Parts: sequence; structure tokens; C-alpha cells
Amino acid sequence: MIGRRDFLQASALWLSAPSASVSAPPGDLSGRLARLIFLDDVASLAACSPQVPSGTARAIATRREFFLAGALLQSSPPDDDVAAIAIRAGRAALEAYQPLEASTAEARVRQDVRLLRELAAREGAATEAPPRQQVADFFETLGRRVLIAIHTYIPDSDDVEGWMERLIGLHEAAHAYWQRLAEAYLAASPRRDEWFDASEPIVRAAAALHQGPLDSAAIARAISAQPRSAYARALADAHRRLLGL
Amino acid sequence: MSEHITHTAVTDDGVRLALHSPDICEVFHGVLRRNTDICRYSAMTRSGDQFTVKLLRALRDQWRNGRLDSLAEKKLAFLLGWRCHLAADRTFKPVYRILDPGHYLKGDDEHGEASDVSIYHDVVVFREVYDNGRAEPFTASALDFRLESHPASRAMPARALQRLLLPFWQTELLRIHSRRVPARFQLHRITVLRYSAAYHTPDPDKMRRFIIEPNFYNPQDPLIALARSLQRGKPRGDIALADAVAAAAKQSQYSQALERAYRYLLAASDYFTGKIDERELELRCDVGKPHVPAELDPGRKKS
Repeated sequence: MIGRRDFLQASALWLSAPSASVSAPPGDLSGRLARLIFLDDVASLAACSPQVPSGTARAIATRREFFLAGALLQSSPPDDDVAAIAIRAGRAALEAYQPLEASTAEARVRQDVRLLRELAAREGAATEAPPRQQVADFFETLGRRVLIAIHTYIPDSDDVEGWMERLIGLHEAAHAYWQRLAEAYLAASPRRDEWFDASEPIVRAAAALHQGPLDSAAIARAISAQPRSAYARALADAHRRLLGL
Repeated sequence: MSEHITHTAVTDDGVRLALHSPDICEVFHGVLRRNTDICRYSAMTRSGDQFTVKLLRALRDQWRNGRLDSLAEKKLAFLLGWRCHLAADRTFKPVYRILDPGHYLKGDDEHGEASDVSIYHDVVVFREVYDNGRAEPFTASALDFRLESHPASRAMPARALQRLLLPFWQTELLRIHSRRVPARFQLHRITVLRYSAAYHTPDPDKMRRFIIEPNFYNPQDPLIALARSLQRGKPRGDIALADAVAAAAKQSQYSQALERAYRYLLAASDYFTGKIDERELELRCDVGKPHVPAELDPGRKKS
């Protein structure tokens, strides 16, 4: 598990204002998908939780991209208070992720594929793993669809040359990440342990809420159940942090 | 705004024509051959007129004082792809406004959803230039509704990954900015399902109005035919590049975009090797020229 000092360094990259002249090169992307899968589960839970204040729940549900990806923003979009709440909620949920993230790249990739396997199980996907290159190609194809969806890149007008270098590095890092995920995906399988247990009520509720509604009492029971795995504890912690926003 | 697939194709074909041309310098040939993938994604970058000439000057000076290292070569490839983006924009932005003026009356070109014209352009390019996704860098399942035809689809969490890959890339793009302000946050602009619908169940009337009648793409145009033959690795010896370029202005819209992309790359090459100065480069690359004539721009007409 990651130590407090490591987390503070990592969270500085996640959350704080970078300097104007130096921005970290993309480098290693391991762990990014696991982090997003966690945030996505928090979002599904919080948006329907009877305990989360309705303004926060609504912000997470309607400004999902700010919740999932906007925590790095140094300011909120002007005249969009809802997005501002979603960004704050995203930051709070990321803080709850702290105890979950492994300290080495190899271990973070294992966490990525462990949770990817869990998502596959939730969707009833076939259990046999496809060939490595097919999995990598699947990620590349999804990545291409993302480029269609965002339309054009917005350059960094304060440091355009540095941004070009970082964007080139990011594309190279993403390509390497898909390859590593594909390799690791073959060896991963869903299982229960102290890090993750899909059978825990809060995890099951988050999974179910991606597919459709649950009644409020069932959600409340799932949230109040004693979490056993690190993942369930982090979900409960994130939910708790959202109550006080 | 023209769209991702068309931007990529104009760049890919522009690079093919440049590699085929004896008038483009050897430095560019080497850089383009080794870094085509970079050109493809830099071709989706906006605001090129603001930056590309200055950056090209710096790389030219670096080359004159020695040689370009690997990173400098990558940056040069980036700039050349970026210029091709402008060739596509300058060709197609007016076309969108002529064919779908109602869409642009809303005045949200930089933030809103795309016009159907641009989406129909993209799916035609996907079919014609990328052989229904069988040619790089696309895949045959790229415009599926849910990636259902991809061979790994049954074993992968397709629904969840479609939900998660966009925020993944949004986060990483934000991370590489020196100021992480809302204006730099890349919002979800276009629903890919619109592409799936236009590709798998095209509206015949939109095909007629946006593609056929305006002559968007004609595979018989010499410049397009030459580009396709280069793509297949069997260059058409009966098509002279200079003649094909000269004829393009009166041919399909896609040919016009290719002519523009080639012209920009040739101008950049001539500047790089000292044949023309910066002023001439800007002139030949249309630097500073509005992408959309005033009469087609509702925002400017009002002001």
C-alpha cells in the first residue's frame, strides 16, 4: 500500500496547482484505470444515495465528467456552480482512494486488471481471456473513439512547445499502458481477498446502480454494512466525505 | 470545425503525397516516414496558425546548426500534421455552413455538438479512405454501436470501458497543461453513437445533400486516385502529381483539401530549406486568413 508521504506527493500531482513552466511528463500511467473505476463506483453510489445531499448527488450525476476527470482543475467553470460541486466531490473521493493504491507500477497494473476483470464479470462477459493483441487493440479502438468524442486538442498557449512534447509522451505512454494491461489481463481473475471482495454489500450496490435503480432502503443498508475489504472501506469513506460537502 | 476522421485522412493522404513528391525535402521525407502516427494526432489540434510558423522557424534553425535529434524530429512531424489540420478546416468549415446553416446560427461551433454534415463526411472518409476501418489507424469496429464486432468484445467490459476511457483521456490531457483551467478541460463534444447511426443506417437524404450533390469525394479525381494507390503501395505511374494538384481546385471537396494540405507541406519544406522566407511561407499557408468567410459566419455578421 502507498504510504502517507507517497500519497501526499501523488496527490499533489492529482490535485494541486502545477507550476506555470513545468508540468510533469506523462510517464507511467499504471493505476489510472483502477482509480477511475473506483470513482465511477463512488459516482453510481452517491448519485442515488439517500444520505448524500441532493445538490451533491445531482452535481455528480449531471456533471459526471467534472466529477471523474475534473479534480485537477485549479478553478471551476465560470457560472457553473454545479460543476464546482462535482469537482469538489471528485477531489474528496480521490482522497478516499489513498489507502487503496499500490506503490509500484507493477502492482498498480495488477490492480487495474483486477478491477477490469471485476467489471467484465459484472457485465457477464465471457471468462476466457482473448489473445493479448486483441485486448490491446480493443483499448486502441476505444481510444480512437475518445478522440472522435473530444473532437480537437486544445493546445497549451502558455507553453506550446512543452505541451507538444508532453502530448507526444502521453500518446506513447498510453500505447505502452494498453500493451501492459493486455498482458496482465490474461493473468488476472476475479477473486475475493482483503483488497477487494465483489460480494460485499456496498460493492454490490455500486455495481447494481450502474445497471438500474435500487430502492433507497437497500442502498442505505449496503452503505451502513461493515466493510471488510480495502475497496469497500474506501467506497464507504468516499461516501462519508461527500456527506459533509 | 471539421472532424477527427477527416482531419486524420487529409493528413495521412497529405503525408503520402509529400513522400511521393520529389519537391519535398529529404529531411521531411525521413521525418514523415518515421513519425506518421504523430502527424495523425497532431492533425486534431486547433489554433495552428498561432504557433506553427514560429515553432517551424526554431526547428529549422536547429537543423541548420546541426541535426535534428529524435525529439526534434517528432516535433517537426507534429507541426506538419498540425498544418494539415488547417488545410482540412479551411476547406470544410465553409462547406458545413453552406450545407447546414441552421446549425451554425446557434453560434456554438467551439463548444456544441457537430453538424451532421461533418459526421457524414467522416463516415464517408472512414469507408473510402480507411476501407471501412480495415486500414490504419482505424479498426473495423471503430464505428460500432457498442464495439460489438470487435473480436475481444465478448470477454471485455465493453460498456464500462466506453464509460471510462473518455474521463481517462480527459484527465491525462488536463495533466499535461501548465495551467489547469476550465478552458483547457476537453469536454465531451460529440456522441460517437451519431457516427454509428450515420455509418450503419445512413439517411439517404443527408447522403444526397451533404455528400453526393456537393461532390464531397470522388475516387476518380486524380489526386485521390494517386493517394489511394500510394496507400496500397502501388503508385499510379500514369498520374503526375503536379497535374493532379493543379486539377484539384475544380474537383471534389476532398481533393481540394488534399491540394491544400500538399501545398502547405510544400511551402513548409521550401521554407525549411531556405527557398522562401517566412513572409512567403505565411502567404502560401494562408496564415491569419479566416477559416470562414464573413458572409458565412453568423457571429461576425452580427458584430
